[in-house]
Amino acid sequence: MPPITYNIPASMIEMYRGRNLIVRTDNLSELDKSLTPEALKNIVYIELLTLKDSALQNSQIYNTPLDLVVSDPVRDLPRLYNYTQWADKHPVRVSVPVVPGFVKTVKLATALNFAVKLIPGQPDSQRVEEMADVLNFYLRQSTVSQPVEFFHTMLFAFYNDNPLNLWTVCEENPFQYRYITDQGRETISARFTDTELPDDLNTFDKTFIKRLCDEASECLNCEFFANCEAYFKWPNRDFSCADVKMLLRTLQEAAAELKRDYAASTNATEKKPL
Amino acid sequence: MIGEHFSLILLPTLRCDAACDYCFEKKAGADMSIDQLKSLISKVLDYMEQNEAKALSIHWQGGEVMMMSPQWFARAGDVIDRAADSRNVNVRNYIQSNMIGYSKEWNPIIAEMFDNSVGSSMDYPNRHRKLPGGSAADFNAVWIRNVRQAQDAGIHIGVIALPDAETLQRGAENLYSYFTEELNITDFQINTPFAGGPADASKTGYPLDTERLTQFLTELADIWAERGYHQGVRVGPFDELIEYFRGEDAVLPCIWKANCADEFVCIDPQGNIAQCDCWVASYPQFHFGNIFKNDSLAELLRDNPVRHKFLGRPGVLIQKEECPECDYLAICHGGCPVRAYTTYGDLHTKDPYCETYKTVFNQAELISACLARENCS
Ligand code: SF4
Ligand code: SF4
Ligand code: SF4
Repeated sequence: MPPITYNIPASMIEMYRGRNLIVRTDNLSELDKSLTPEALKNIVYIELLTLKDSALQNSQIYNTPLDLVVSDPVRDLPRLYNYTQWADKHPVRVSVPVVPGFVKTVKLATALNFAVKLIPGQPDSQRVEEMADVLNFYLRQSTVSQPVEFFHTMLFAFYNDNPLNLWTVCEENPFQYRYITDQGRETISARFTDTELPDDLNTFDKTFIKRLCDEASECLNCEFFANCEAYFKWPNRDFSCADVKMLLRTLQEAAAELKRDYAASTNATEKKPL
Repeated sequence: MIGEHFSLILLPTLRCDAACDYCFEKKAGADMSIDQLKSLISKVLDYMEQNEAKALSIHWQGGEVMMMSPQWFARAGDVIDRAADSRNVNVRNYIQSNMIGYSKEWNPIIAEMFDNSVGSSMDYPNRHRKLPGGSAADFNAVWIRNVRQAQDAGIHIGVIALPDAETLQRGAENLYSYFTEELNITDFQINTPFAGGPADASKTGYPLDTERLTQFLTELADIWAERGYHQGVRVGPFDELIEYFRGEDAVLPCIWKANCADEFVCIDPQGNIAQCDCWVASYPQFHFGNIFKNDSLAELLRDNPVRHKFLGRPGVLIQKEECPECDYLAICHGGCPVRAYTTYGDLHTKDPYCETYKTVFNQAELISACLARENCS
C-alpha cells in the first residue's frame, strides 16, 4: 500500500516531517520563507487557499506543483491569469467547488492549460445540469488538453472496467489521504472538518461506507456503486442521485464509445493491405 | 516571461529607407550604439537570471533594421553571444526587414545570425508601401529584385501581408497566386490591419469589414489546404493553427497568447520600453520606462503601472466580454490590445476582429480534422 499523504496547514510542517505532504497556505511568500529544502522534498503539492498572491518567481517553491483552491468562482475568475507562468514550470491544478459561477472558472482554467478538480459536494439539479455542460465540454472540445476531474479518471476507470472509486479520485480515500484540520484533528477531507467521525479511519470502508449505504438505500441497487460507494451520500443521506447518475452514465457511454472507436481503428489497421 | 523563455523586440534604429503611407514609426532620433546594446543586454540577462529563464529570442525590427550596417550586426551578434554564453543563455535572433536596403553584403550575417531567414512585408495589391518620393510600383520593383537575389543566395523569405478593402475585393485566389506563383513566396501570413499611430487617409478603412475579411480568409484557407499544404506552402495563421489542433507545438501569432504582456517587451534605440513595436513608436503614454535610465529591468517591469494595465487586460475581459463562453478562449483570450485600443480607445476591450477569429479557428479546426483523414477533399 502506498504511504499516506497528509493534507496539513503550513503551520504543522515540522510536526509531519518525513511524511508525504499536501501543504495548505494562503500566503505563498511566507510559506516560501519558512520552508527548509529538506521539508520541500516531501511536499507533493501546495494548496493555495486564497488567490491573492500572484506567482512567486525565483523562489524555492516555484518548481512545486500548485493547487489553486477557488472559494468564490466569480471573484477568483480573473485571478487565475496570475498563475499562468507557474504552468510552464510544473503542473497547476484548479480546485473548483460546484457552486454558481463555477462553469466559467472551469473553462478559463482549461483554457490556461490548468488541470481542474471539481469539488461536487451534493449538487442540486441546476448545478448538475452545469456539470453536464462541463462534461460535454471536457469530452468534445478540441482545445481542452488537461484533465477535468473527477470526469477524466472515471472515464478511464469505465474504459478499463476498473473499480476505482470516487473517494480515491477526489482524494478522500483515507487509506491514501488524511486531512489534518487547523486544530490538528485527523479526518477524511475538507468536507468532514465540522464532523466528529465515530469510526476509526482505518476501517473506513467496512464501517463508515457500509453505514452510509445502509442508511441510504438508493446505493444498494445502484449500477454505479462499484465506482462510487456512496460518495454522494455525505452529509445528507437522503440526497437523490438521479441527476448525478446521469453524469456517470454519460461517462460510461463515452467510455464505451471510445472502446468502439478504438476497436474500429484497430480493425481498420489490421485489414489494411501491407 | 513564459517558462524559461523571454522574447525581446529590439529596434536598433527608427530610421527607414521607405515612406509607407500607414507607417506608425517616428523615424527620428539616434541609432542604438554598441555600448548601449551591451548595457541593455546585460540588464535583460539579469532579468532573465532572476526569473530562471534560459532562452532568449530577439526579434530585430526598425524603423528599418537594414539601415544599420551588416558590420554593426556582426559586432552586435558578438556582444550578445559573449554576454549570453557567460550566463548560459541560449539566444535566437530573428530579423524583420523591408528588404529595400538588402544587398549581398548581408548574406554572411543573415546566414550566421538569422539562420538564413528574413521576415519581410508585402501587400496585395501594394498601394501604400512606397519609396521616398517614389511610387508603390517603384517599391515593388526594388523589393522583388532584392527578394529574388536573396532567394537565389539560399535565404528563406517569409512575408507578412496586410489586407485592405481592395485585397478583399480582388479575392483570395488572386492573392494566393500572386504570392506563390508571381513572387515565388511559399511562406506568408495575413495579419489583421489596424489604424496605429497618427490618423491619415490610408487608415480610414480600418478595422476592415469583418464579414468580408472572414469570407476572404476562409476562401484563402481552402485554397491553401487544397493546393499548398501538401506542397509545403505555409500560409499563416492557418499553418500554425492546424498544428495547434493536431496537438502539436504551435507558434501562434502574438495576438493569440494568454497574455502578450507575459511574453514580450519591446525596446527602441532610445531605451524606451513598451509592449511591442506598435506601442513604442506611437504611444509614449504607454511606455513602461527607459532601460538606460533604470538599473533593473525586473524592478521596472514589476512596478510599472502601465504594464500592469496590460497584465490585467485578460482578467478584465474575462469578466466583461463573452470570451468565457467562446469555444476558442484557449487560443485567443480576447486578442490583441493594440487592435482594441486603436479601434475603441480602450485597452480593456476584446479585439475588433473577434468574429473573424472565431470563424478562422473553426475553419482551421475543420481543415485539421480533414487533413487527418486519408481521403480529405
Ligand atoms: S451514485 Fe448515488 S446511489 Fe449510486 S452509489 Fe453513488 S451515492 Fe449511491
Ligand atoms: S499589443 Fe498586439 S501586436 Fe503588440 S504584442 Fe500584444 S498582441 Fe502582439
Ligand atoms: S474569438 Fe472573440 S470571444 Fe473568442 S476569445 Fe477571442 S475575442 Fe474572445
